[in-house]
Amino acid sequence: MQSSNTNNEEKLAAGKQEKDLGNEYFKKGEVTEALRHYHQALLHLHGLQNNKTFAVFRKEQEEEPKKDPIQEEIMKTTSVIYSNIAACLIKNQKWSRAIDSANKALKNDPDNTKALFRRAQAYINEGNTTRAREDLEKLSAKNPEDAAVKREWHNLRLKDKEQDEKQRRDLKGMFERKWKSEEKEEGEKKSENKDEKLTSTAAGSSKTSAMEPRFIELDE
Amino acid sequence: MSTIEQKKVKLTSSEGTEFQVERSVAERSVLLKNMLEDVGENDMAIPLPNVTGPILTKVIDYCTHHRNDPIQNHDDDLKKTSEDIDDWDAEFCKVDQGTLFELILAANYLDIKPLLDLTCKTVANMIKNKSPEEIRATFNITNDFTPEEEEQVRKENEWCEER
Amino acid sequence: MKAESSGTSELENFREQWKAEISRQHKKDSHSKSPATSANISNASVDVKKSLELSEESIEIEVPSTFELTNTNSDSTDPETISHKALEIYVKAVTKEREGNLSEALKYYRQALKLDPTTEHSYRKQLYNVVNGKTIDQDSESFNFFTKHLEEVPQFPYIFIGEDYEKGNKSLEQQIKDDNSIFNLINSFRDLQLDLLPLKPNKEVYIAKLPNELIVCILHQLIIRGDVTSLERFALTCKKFFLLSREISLWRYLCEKAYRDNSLPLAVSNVLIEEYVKLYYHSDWKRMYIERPRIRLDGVFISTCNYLRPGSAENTWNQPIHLVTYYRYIRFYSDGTCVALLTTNEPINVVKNFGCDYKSKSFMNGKWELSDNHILMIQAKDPDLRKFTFHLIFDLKSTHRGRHNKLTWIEYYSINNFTDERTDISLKNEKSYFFSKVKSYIVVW
Repeated sequence: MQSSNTNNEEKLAAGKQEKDLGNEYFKKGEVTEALRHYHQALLHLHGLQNNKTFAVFRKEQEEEPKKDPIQEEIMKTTSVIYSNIAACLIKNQKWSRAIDSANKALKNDPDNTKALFRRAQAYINEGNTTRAREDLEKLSAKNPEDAAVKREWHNLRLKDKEQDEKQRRDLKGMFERKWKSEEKEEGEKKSENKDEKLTSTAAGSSKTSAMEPRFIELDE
Repeated sequence: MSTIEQKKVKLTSSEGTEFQVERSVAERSVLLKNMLEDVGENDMAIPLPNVTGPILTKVIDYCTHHRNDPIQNHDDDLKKTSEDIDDWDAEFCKVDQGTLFELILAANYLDIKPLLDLTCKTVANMIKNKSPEEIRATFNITNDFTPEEEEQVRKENEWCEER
Repeated sequence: MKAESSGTSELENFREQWKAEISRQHKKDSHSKSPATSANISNASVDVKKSLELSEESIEIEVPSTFELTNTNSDSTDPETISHKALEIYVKAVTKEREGNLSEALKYYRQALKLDPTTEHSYRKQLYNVVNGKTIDQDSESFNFFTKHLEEVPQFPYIFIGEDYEKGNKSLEQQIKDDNSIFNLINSFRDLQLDLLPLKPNKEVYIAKLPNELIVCILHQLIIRGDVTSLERFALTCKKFFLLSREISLWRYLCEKAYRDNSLPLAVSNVLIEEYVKLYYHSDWKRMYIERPRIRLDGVFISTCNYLRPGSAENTWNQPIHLVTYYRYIRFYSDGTCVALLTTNEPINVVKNFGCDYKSKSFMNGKWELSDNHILMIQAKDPDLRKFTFHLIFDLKSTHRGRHNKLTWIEYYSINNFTDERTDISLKNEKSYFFSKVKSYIVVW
């Protein structure tokens, strides 16, 4: 395995080319073809990452030591590819694989917001509302007005409700009616409070369509 | 499923040498497994530009021998690693240092966790119970500490040396 | 002399007496040029008396003080050869003493001092020379056996006769100073190009091909069985490896294993450990691993109990001395179990095979728990004494030799499982346990 810089540059170029092809297919809606090219891109780029930083430094000071620009670009590109694979897998409804890919994207670039967003989406669909909430909170902190994030908050609440109802159905007969209705009211109040903090539910969902593209589009 | 002849997967090394392996062998690599899962099988060879032919041959040997091993979970990591290296694996790792480090890189590239663990453990055994000088000689590296720096590190680390 | 007084001071007294006695004899003999008497060494006749009290057992060894000494080269009267011979025997005695075998040690001390009363002095002189790297003015043969002896001695670090003084906590000031200096050192490497340079320029540095992440993978495999010593030696090889050895994930892993609370689910235990490192060690996982008391699993704790008991004496020369020696061993496992043994067998014969499946009388299986970072509680059962549960309570301490390596007794009692009746067991003759690392023990976490 060669690790000279010119070699890495060539591989980076080849990887980017495959990624771009993947993006084109994705836009045309050909998810499988898109995936094929994204995977081809990974075959060039995976394993080239060489993070020269040391954990000791990372902890002590925020400022990162100087990086090799090629290395930096390899890691950024790899992150984008994994993030886009996650987008494809979400379309294919493969939630756990999507989460896995988003994780790899975030490992290569912790600031990849789209990867974080896709992970949140996958978590919601998988039913892991705790993890989804953590991710959405991070996203809201970065982009408080983002419509796509708001829409996912809405989806999360729907999922929460769905799970609550399922649990309630499961518990049916074990507790008396009175207790259940109290619990339900309380649960609704809680979610209303959350709504106010972010935005009102109704307004949020109507706006989403207008501002939607932000997280749906792929990274170039 | 085992009765049906498995379809072969074609792989090409960095120099363009083509290898044919059963899908179950290729799938020891998580990188390839995910790819095959997402895009299905295809007659086109999968290019592996980051592995040379000789190293890929070794990797395929390993994957063929271990093709029926249960897939490792994260939870199983510890159990697996606390066992000793078995004879076949030990024999597999009897290679020169250059090859051993290439295997680590290849295992990382192809995402074959048990092979990465095995090769890293083999290197770890080269470090175990050796003095700093012996470790330097083993890996051919120079001591770049000044005597003062070395003394400072020694002082900080002496807590773990039994006297 | 009283039985409960410490073995060391007995031995010291005994040595003094001997030296005085021998030098008197030596002066008398010096004219006749026959410094040593030739006679037979009778093997120490062993009188084994067993007193079984609960699980306790002690053996009395009678050391015949009347045995005569052999001058093995009786034909040689050359004073240099004699002093050489004496030194050799003295070295044997030291080795035996370190092994905890006092009766053998006494035998050799007697022999050596009888041959040459100044042996102790020349031993110290040699030791000083070797330790300080000075050339020895004596013949190389003597030098060789002496350096060999020094190499051998550290192989028996497990026995410490007498009290090992306890390490006081470092002053806060000193601690801050040390922390700062290592912090400064790390920072001084920050902007360096940390490439690995070849030791032999014509050979390749293969390990330099690996990215940091993969070197950390190797280090992870190294510590997976708790081998921190190798990690710290690796840190001493060069700057780059020094920085990599401090990778947080490695020390975090070690802490999560060492401070695992077996009564809690793994995730909960880890959360508590993380809180602890934040609260007390500024999130410095390595500092916590070094300083926060933990039970060591990579070796065995041994308590050596020795005492001398004088018999009736006609004169100093013929005073019989009864030597009582027994050993207590405890080995701990990460799952909260442990094994304990009481025996007269010496460590060299026990340690290697000592584990869950050790077959012996007075062998106990137990469970351990460390609370408040220093109180160790053990509940153990002896398969031959099913009626009882033994409770051993210790204080875990550090000594100047190392950390968390000493167990001092607090309480020892048994509970009758049927009647709940508690019986306190005397700690009169018991000594602290000291830790010895055993290379062949595999830590399984």
